[in-house]
Amino acid sequence: MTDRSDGPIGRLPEHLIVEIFIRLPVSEWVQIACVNKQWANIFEGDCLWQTAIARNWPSAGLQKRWPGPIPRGSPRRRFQALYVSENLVPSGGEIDELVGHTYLYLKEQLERPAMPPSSILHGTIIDQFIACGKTGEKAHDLSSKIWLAVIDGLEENQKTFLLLKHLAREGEFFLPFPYSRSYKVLWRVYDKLFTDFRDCFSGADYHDALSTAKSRFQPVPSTWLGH
Amino acid sequence: MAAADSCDGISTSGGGWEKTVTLVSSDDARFEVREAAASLSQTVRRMIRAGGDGGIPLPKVDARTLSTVLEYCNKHAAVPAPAPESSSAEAAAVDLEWFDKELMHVDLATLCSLIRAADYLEVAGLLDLTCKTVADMIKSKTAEEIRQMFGIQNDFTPEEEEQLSRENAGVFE
Repeated sequence: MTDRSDGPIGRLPEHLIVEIFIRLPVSEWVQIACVNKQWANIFEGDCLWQTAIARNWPSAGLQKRWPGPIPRGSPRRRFQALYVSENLVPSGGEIDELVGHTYLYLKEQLERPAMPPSSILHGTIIDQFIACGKTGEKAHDLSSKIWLAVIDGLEENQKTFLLLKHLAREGEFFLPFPYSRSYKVLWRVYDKLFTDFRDCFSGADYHDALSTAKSRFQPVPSTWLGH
Repeated sequence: MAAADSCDGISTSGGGWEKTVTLVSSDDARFEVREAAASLSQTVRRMIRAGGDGGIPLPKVDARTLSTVLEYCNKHAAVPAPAPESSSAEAAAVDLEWFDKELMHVDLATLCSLIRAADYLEVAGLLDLTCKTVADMIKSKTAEEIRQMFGIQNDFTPEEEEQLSRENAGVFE
């Protein structure tokens, strides 16, 4: 495809360049996608992602499409989901691709300028797991884990501060289990606000937030106190 | 299964005789190889099964590349399979690793020819070894360092480059 001098590597067919790329750690991929247009295009196509999935998670290739609200998407999306399942959400060793997809879904929804109420997001995730044969209890547990992983992965910036404040302030919806909001997740939201983001609060804001926290958690940990 | 063109066989270290096959490179060089070694190539293995005489033609591999591939195959097919975890198994593994490392001391053009040959001949171990070798060269380098090392032109406009690094930044946290 190039008759300019792109060296012996540049003249290799794409599937062999892919063989080289998939033997590099994922953290290197950002650099190699910036080398030239040919290499950047490889990351746009499906071949790389399919080959990488087959190499890293051989059994994922056998996975069928699933019912429920959250789709599986392109091979690139699937790779990201599997990567998340393996690295960002703690599980009992077994890698569940669906966990990664729900993580990506939740992260995207929280980044929207007008995010849906968190009880709707929580409910969608639970429905997704139930549609794939999980019990209500397991679905609730997985959803909490995914919320925690997404919240922990947020960058420390003003946007995240506003998001957490919004989540803390959202009214209680009294929904039946498993759709009820997770205590652990709400606790983490407050914990992050009062530790990592304490400096972002104005005095009045802080006391407001603390009084809502006190109405929900008794007693509140001492690390939350003192502005 | 009849070997394609086995002449008289070669002596093995054990003193026995082994079946051999003849492989013919794109530039008509003939290589007589033990069938066990040649069979590390799935492509050759299929051709042996299919039968035929006059040697197995490999029109996509030149003599220089083929001789390196066969060096790899001969070494890897010769390793016996002793009980795992025995000291001799460990020694054999170390020896093989050393051999592989030495084999990869070649220039980039040769390395790329070997990648193509390993792919065409379907020698899985050699494809892995050669691709890993190139991957190790790339590791921990910036895009510019990679371009310089491989002689690749940067065909992005500065704007495209800027946009690309922004897009890619969020892919993996």
